[in-house]
Amino acid sequence: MAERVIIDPVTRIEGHLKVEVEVEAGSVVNAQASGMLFRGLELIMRGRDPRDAQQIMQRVCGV
Amino acid sequence: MPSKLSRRDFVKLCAGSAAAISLSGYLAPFMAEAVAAGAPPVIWIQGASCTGCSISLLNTVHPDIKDVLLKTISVRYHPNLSAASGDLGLNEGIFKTARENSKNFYLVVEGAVPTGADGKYCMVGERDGHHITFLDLVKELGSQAAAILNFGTCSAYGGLPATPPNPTGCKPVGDVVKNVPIVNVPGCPPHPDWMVGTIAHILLYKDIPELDSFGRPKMFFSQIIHDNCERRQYFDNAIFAKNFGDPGCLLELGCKGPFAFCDSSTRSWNSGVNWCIRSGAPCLACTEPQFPGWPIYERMPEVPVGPAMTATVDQIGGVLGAAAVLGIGGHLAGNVMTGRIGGKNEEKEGDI
Repeated sequence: MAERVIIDPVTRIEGHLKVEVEVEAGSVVNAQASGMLFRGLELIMRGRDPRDAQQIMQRVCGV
Repeated sequence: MPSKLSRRDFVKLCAGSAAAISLSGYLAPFMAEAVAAGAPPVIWIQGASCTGCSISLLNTVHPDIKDVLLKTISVRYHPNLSAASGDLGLNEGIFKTARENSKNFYLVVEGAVPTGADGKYCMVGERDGHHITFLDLVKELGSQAAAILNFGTCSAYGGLPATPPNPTGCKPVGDVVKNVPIVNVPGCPPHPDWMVGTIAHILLYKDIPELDSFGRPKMFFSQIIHDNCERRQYFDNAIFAKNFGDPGCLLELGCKGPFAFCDSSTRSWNSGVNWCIRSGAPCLACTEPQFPGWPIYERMPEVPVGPAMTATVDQIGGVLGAAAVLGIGGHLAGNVMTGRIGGKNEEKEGDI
């Protein structure tokens, strides 16, 4: 019987991450990682001056 | 141990922004004393953010950021720095601290609050097998906090993720939590001194600093970039840069300095090394509520200043502070009338 371990939130990273791991007899048999934030910066860029992209898209991640 | 620092001296020190002096380095011993005497803890949470505000805070180099976080600000949870993750981080770091210090902790919020789809665009963890949305977390913690500190334009005004068409329905924290004192420290990102100085004021005087009409501490946000710009002489002499790298005022390249309230021009960044305009980049007015809803590299629109002096060329969304509009509008309209700033056609000449 696999044991399910969920770590949410994962700290010391940028953004919101959730990790689900299934462990069976001491071995990982399945794992999933989920990004838990959506901002839609591509949708914000639509229709804007292309030069604005360097200021908008660099703010995807500030680290 | 340091002696008492009067509030008047404190504000003078913060507003003075002498580049050679590290503000946080000077304040550290006073804050350490306040924390040792039992100052309220700080919980730092992130929503629709890029973590840039936290990274900017890490640029506090004197003293070491480790000392700032552990000795001078009692941070109990920070998504990027806490070793605890998962249930341990949420339950011990956030909820236990909030429960044990109800109405006696400060909540630092970084990032806007997505309200679309019931807040499902940003999940911050799980409790009892259910996801917690950032919207619910801000509401729950905000109502228990002594005050909320919005670090960055996103949490203060919506900022980048709330830019039209605002796909995730992002809102500023002030629209979601009511009846709790809120201090906005905008900027994309804010200067470390603005953040440390605001926390220091609250810890030392157990009161929020004096705020302007946009909820910003006046000690950092009462100057207009344009008024203290080192390229101001170019503007007064009608010398405008047409391309990046040219000498001259950057107005025609999209500089929003005349709208921007902050002290970057005198404080400088990276421990006083440089700032936006000195490096040749037009001001984006990242401390303003409209940021970045306007065309970034287009000349800022003039503002109607009266029936006889209407100089409106473009339209932008948002509402500007009435006083700023009148002051700047009059200033610019005067320059248009005396021929200092060219008309729309001339302005387009060097454009792509």
